[in-house]
Amino acid sequence: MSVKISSKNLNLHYGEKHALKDVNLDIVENKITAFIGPSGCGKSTFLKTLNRMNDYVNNVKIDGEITLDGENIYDSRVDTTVLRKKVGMVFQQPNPFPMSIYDNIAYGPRIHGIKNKKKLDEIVEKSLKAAALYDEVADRLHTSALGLSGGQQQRLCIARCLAVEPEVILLDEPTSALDPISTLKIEELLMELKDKYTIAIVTHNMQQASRIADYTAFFLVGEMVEYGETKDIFSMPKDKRTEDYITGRFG
Amino acid sequence: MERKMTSIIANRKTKSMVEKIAAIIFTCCAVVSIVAVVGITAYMFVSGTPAIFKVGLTEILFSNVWAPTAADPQYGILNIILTSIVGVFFAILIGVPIGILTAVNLAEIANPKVRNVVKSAVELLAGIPSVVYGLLGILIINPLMYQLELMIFAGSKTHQFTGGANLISAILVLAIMILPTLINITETSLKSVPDDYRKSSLALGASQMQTIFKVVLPAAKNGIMSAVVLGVGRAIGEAMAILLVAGNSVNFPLPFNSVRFLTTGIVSEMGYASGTHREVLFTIGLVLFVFILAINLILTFILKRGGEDGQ
Repeated sequence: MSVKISSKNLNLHYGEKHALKDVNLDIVENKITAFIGPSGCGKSTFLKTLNRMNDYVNNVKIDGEITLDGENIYDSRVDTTVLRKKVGMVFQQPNPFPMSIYDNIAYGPRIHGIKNKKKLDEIVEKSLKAAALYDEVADRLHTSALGLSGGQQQRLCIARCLAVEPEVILLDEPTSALDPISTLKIEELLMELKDKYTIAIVTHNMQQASRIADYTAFFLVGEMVEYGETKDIFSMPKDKRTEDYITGRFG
Repeated sequence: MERKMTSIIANRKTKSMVEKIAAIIFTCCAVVSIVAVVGITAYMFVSGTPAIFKVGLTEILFSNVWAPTAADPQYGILNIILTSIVGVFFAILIGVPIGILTAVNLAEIANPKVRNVVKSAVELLAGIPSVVYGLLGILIINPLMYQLELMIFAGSKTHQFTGGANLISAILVLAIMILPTLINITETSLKSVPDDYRKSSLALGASQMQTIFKVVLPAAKNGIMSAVVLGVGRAIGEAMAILLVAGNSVNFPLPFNSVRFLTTGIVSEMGYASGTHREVLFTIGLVLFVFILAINLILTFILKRGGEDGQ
């Protein structure tokens, strides 16, 4: 069991707002780590610090350290394009580009310099298979990705993310816009993917966290209240606030 | 106790009269623009066709001798048509890259301070009367062109010196004049590209420039094409500025020739033309009108196709 990403004394301010307070958390390799908590608790913000997507938000100030394989990702010498190639992200809303299914998947490899048509074909097929979407779209790879259903679009986004061969996948409430069956498919998919990738997922849905996550962290108003193995968090939380939240007393 | 009843039928007639009259007034206002369009179209065809029958369509469109006041008058407008096409084409060729990149800068890159400065500059540019562009062209571009002309054609016996009032001057002025149209429409369409596309692209490890050129611009392509088409419309219909800078004699559109556009052809001779000459000027108007009509049809087509894409 090795630590892939480690956050040490991480503080984040949006202007005056102290959005993350001294977060210390280790994300373990080849496991699924879930971040739960009520809206506005900072769980999505924390997720975005892991691949520096917060760089694009105005007035953000970040102190502390996040290391990926021991390297500080907030070091001034870091190339964010390389970081994000290693740490991919899937968003809440399925958001394929307005291009064909094939071009969506090939986008990442292409920007990272792969031009060989045969190589791209292979990557597209492999990524779609890994995202359990290939059989459904094999005969219409060159039609618009916007014609897919919501669940298919989200699996396409996961495939698009896999195509650049990341080591870590961050998912920001990936199923909150989807129906139960699509949600189930994505959950099954994540369980399969964890053999090869390290996964961090933000979710509103506590059942989801208990179903799929190996580790769970509970956030509340910018603080990481409790972190541990999922079964411990849900069966015998140490903190009163965690207990109140998971038993549905607030949130 | 007797309750006072308010009939729901009361006043129905007067009320519905007011409603109806209001509706009629609104409809009449709406009809005005339709009448104007139909009227203009009809008038252009009615006044533009007699000369075609008198002189002959091929004689007008495909002959390049324009001598309306000669003893044996000739009314070939081929050079004028070509000038309009070539002039507008090169103005677009110069204006479009500048316009699109400015819009990209405004919508994607510039910080708010820079954006405000550039935006107000662009708005001011849009508000400047076209005759002022012409004056500036005379003051700035023409002298420069004259210097260039003197250098290039030094010692030439065949070249007619134009004093810098030539096709290039007209193209440069047109290119600047279409910038506001290009920039504003392109910027709007870039702004309407969902932020999700940018985020996903960046999250895949794309740089900001890769994101702009590979995702954002393609996603906004319908809007950008509309901008280009409207730019063409603006350029082809412009008269005042190029009347001042283009030299205004009928020649084949070569860079250093003094040239006349469709619009300036009408403006510069209508004052004294009579008879067939006058009718041919109306035919030039008809040709211009057909060009504009075609441009608008193309625009409608682009927008409709964009709607079907669901973008």
